[in-house]
Amino acid sequence: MYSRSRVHNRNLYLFLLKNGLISISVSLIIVQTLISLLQIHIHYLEKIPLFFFVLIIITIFFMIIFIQERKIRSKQEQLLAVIENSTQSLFILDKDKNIISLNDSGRELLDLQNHKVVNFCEVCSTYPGADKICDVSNCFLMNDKENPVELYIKNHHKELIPVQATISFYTTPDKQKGTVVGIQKVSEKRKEEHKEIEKMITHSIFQAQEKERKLISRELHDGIGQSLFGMLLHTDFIKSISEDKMGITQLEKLQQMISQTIEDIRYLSAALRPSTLDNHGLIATLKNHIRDFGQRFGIQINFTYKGSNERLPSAIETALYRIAQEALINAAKYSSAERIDVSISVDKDQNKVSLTITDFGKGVELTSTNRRGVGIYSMEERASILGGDFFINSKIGKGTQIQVNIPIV
Amino acid sequence: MTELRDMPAVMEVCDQLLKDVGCDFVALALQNEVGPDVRWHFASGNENDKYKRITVRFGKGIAGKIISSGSPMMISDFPNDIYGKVTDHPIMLAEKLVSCYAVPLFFNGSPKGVLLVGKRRTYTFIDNEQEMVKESAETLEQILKGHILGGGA
Repeated sequence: MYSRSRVHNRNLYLFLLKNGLISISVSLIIVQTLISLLQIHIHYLEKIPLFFFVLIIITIFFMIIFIQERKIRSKQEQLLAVIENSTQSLFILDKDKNIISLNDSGRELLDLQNHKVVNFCEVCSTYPGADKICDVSNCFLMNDKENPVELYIKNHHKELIPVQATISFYTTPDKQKGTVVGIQKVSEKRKEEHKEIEKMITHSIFQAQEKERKLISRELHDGIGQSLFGMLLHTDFIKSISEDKMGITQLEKLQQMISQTIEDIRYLSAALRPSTLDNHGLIATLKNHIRDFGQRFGIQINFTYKGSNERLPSAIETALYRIAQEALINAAKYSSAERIDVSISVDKDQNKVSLTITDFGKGVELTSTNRRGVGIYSMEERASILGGDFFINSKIGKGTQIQVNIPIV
Repeated sequence: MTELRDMPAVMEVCDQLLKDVGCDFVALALQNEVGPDVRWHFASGNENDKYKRITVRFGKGIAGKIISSGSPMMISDFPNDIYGKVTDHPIMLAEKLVSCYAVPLFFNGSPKGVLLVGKRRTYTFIDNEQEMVKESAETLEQILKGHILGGGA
């Protein structure tokens, strides 16, 4: 503090010294002019008090000017320092949205080195992903109705950065409306939000998918399936009254085809969403599925269930059924396993249900890419929507184990 | 029906075909006597016994499709050049086959069985090889004719 004031004082002295000569000469001129104007003849020694008087006045003037100037300058410096060091990226735009000035943070945000940005519109991307669709009248820079605005900034490498922008206006020296844009990165916050939104979307997709499947499955089973069955009964009736032998043979062929179609419809209906899942519960449905699945792929599947006969909440039953289905399909597709163990246990005390699926196949190396690829993501999501955990463990040559724990609420 | 595995004549034809075509796997599927489902009854060059347990629905899988359509089919690069889902091809998955050629076996004028040859790498079976498979299928039809019809199909 002390040295600082000394520096300031030295500035003052320097200022005074520099101006001293001017002050002295100006004082001399003033005094001389006054005397000659008033046409007074006095001795030059008598001029001295007058000279000093004028000199003091002038010096005081200069000092006032100096102090005022320092005040203004320090305010300006402070303002500049704030702008320069602000973590917020600041862009100062003129009326045509050209960036006339920007701070370090702004330069960093745009990843500019020597490249100069001309117009703010070049970095602004209000519609991420799509081509820029901008309506001048709706541009957030033109009105401060929706302050702050969330948008994407395209940096020099064409990367999109999610940001939050606040707009304020100023009047340019030539009396026009200029804009100051303050920009703050919101990537972390945004990422979390995105995850949350993604989860909500996945959830509603699952729900919609399940609803639609149920609808189509019912329609197939009760609608088309029933009409086919009616047709079959009708052909039976025609067969009973017909006396044409050739006709009867053809009719029997037709009946076979109808039966086959009924079977196909039933199979399709069950594949979409087994009605047993609603009527008889998870365990019966899973047993059915496992039997069919084992037969289809020639894999031995062992199923164990520990728990009471009580039904689980429908959302959990659906989730567990779909997870088991996915896990089995993965095992059949990739593991080359000959044996798969599936077990479900309901823990009444801890109010949770766990599903474990172990295949004794070749195992897989879990990387971030195949984690998302082979339905693991959907299994994980189904579990997490219900507040459950999902674990996958795989060892090359040993097999893969999937475990899901879901709390019963 | 006596197990086909116990019929040396069938084994002989299949083993010979395996050698002649130079493929990794030969299998024979037949439609069940009761119901429309199809099962693999015999295999040569198999890696495991899954084929014995595989039952495909009429119209599903390679065997089911061939029996319902009555025409041969070929896959050169499984699972990249298939119609439908990977899981609709259990025999390919079970035996890790990448290419196959399969023809129907006719009994009494209708398709009731399938003869399949396969390789565990991408391959396109040429005309000559296709002919060999068809010839073997005809031989098998003759051997199994009495068996199937006598079995009360």
